[in-house]
Amino acid sequence: MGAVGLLAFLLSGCSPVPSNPRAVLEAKAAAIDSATQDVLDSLRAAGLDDATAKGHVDGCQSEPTPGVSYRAGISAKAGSDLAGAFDALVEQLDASGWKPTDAYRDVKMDPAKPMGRFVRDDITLDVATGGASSGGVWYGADEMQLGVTIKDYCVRVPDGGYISKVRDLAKDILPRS
Amino acid sequence: MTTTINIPAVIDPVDRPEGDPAGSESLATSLLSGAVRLTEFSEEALLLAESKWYWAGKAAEAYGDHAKNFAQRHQPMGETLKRVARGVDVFADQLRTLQSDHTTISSDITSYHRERPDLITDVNLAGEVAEAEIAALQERARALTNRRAGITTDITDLQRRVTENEQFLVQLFTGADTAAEASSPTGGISALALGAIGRKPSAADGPKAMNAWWNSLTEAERDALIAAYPDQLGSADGLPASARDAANRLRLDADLAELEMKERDGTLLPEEKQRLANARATRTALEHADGYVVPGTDDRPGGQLWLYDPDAFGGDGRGAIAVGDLDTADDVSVQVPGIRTEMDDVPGGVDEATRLYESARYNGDGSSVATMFWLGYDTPAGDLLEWGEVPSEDRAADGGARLAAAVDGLRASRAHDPAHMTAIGHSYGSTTTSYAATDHGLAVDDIALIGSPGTGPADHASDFSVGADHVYDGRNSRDFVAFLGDEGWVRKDQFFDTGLGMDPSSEDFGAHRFEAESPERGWGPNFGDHSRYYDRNSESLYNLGRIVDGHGDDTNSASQSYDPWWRDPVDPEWDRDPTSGEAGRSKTGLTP
Repeated sequence: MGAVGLLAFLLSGCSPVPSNPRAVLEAKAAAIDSATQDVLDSLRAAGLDDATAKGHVDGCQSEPTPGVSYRAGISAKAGSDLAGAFDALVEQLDASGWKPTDAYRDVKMDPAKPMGRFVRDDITLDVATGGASSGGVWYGADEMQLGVTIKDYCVRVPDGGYISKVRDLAKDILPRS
Repeated sequence: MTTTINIPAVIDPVDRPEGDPAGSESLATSLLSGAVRLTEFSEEALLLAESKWYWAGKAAEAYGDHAKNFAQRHQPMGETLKRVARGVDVFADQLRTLQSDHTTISSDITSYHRERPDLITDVNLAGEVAEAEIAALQERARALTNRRAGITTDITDLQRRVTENEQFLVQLFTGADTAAEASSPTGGISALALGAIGRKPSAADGPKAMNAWWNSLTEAERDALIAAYPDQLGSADGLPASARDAANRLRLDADLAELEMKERDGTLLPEEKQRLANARATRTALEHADGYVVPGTDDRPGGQLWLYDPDAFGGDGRGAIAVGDLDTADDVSVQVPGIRTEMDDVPGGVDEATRLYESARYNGDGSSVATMFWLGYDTPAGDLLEWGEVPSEDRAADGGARLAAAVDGLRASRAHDPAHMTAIGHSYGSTTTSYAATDHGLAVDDIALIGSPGTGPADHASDFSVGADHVYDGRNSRDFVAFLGDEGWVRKDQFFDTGLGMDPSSEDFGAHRFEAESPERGWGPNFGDHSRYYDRNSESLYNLGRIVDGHGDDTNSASQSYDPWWRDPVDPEWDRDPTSGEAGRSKTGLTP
């Protein structure tokens, strides 16, 4: 009987499944989309005009307590002077309320390919430059890539493949004007 | 002096294989629809044959006998028609492949015919030239001759396969074109399939024998077998994953077509509801695997349905889906899930497989990867009322034997091209994996245990088949389930003995512990942190990707927990600040 009590304790420690998980995820997606549009504005102000943004739906947490999350990715052509483009963006981000963190404090960084993490309220913005390889192929050598995530990103959903019901939230995020 | 340079002849164009794959698939669907109608017909007749309280006597008995007889005659006809429908599906698949191969060969011929006149022109212009130039022209002629020979071989091979495919279709129809054949248990089964299945070894002969048998067959025999006996091939350990995938997709398509039609008609039997739910979950998961593109890249690994058994374990079902090609990938991983995982959880498991694939490729050395979510054992339900069965190791022991057999099957299917293989056990699945590695010689190269409640029969990492140096453990310091394992001699059997053996993160166990904390972790032990090991941009997924890629020696190590006799166990990871999305530590994909 001790085991039953133990399980009750364990389950009580879990985040509960909200009554409408999709609505909770949509609210987080809306916040991320709005922040992403702000970042697109900052990129344009920094001279990076051709940025594109997408919203992605991911699974998070495993069965038996699965969840879903939403994040946005932005890519922008930055040319050969990645550090210059990064500095220009940082200036614009600062003006729009983003604060740098020390997330990359311990990372040995190539000065020609700077990276940074910024926060504003409960939104986190990661900025990387120069691309990276996947499967032995290098992608985005002349690009700046940005990711937008939200605190408490994982929304608990019912057991059993719920993610297929929210994949449609993935989309292109367009600039405001 | 005259030098002769032999220019190879032109190549005649090759006829495109005739037929319309989409049209054939449409025919298969129609045939399947007819088969379902026959099945419904016979099931209805059986219901009519049952005795009724309101009708008795000789007339009722005669009616019942007649209806039963009617059902018995129509049931095999439905089965025959299903086999024919599956055969037409196989024909359509093969026709599509043949037409694609024809396009490739035609392109090779065009390229050949572009280079040939160039060589003729250069030879004609040569006149009095130096020996070196003559040698170069002769070398070009030799290379062109070799190309011609290769293309000619491809053409011959294509024509043979086209003939075989057409013969297969003819045999399929002529094997079921009389009432007697349609009613026969072997109706619609080609002579090729009947001959080949007779030579099939039994499962007890082992996966190596199964693989040797498969390799001895012609392509036509294999196609015929997949169409006729997908149930036997879809779970046959030792067969190539591509063959199992083809067989299982046929079964899945047939199940969905049949059960959804019956659902629409209102004739779905109660015991078929769970089967339909399992089939739908599998379809959802497979569609995700098939369409998955690694974010930010053009890498589309594709999916494989390695196991599909929707009726297993009283309807809980068994299933396994891979992301990537299990037959060719340099690195192959098998994810073993834990409690309360059933077929409706396969879509979530495949989603984890895509994230693991992304991590292994992003932080990898360029090698090809396949990640498989394997639900091949009967996981404990874990329901509150059934909690009592969770601490039992019975299912882990049984699952361990099944996991080892599955891996043996994968190994046998590519004995001459062995992959680097990793088994990853999560939660109760880590105990299952421990049983496989301790009692059944699990034939992988590396083992990773995450969120483990205990390692079952293993007291030390050296008890595992891979040796202690290839055993890895990820434990979030707040993961309550990971608290259940035995921690040193003082805390042995803690929490009412609900643990399932040794805590693999402990220094006493001797595995390599890697970083697996989460910035979202709770303030204290909780169940949510038991489920974050496959989260994107997490420390755990980063390290799992490194292990899958064959670089377990280059994971980010975490200090092992230990158990001083004078106080509670100590987890040094408790006070470390977790990271997320940091390069070389927790970044698991190209897009931030």
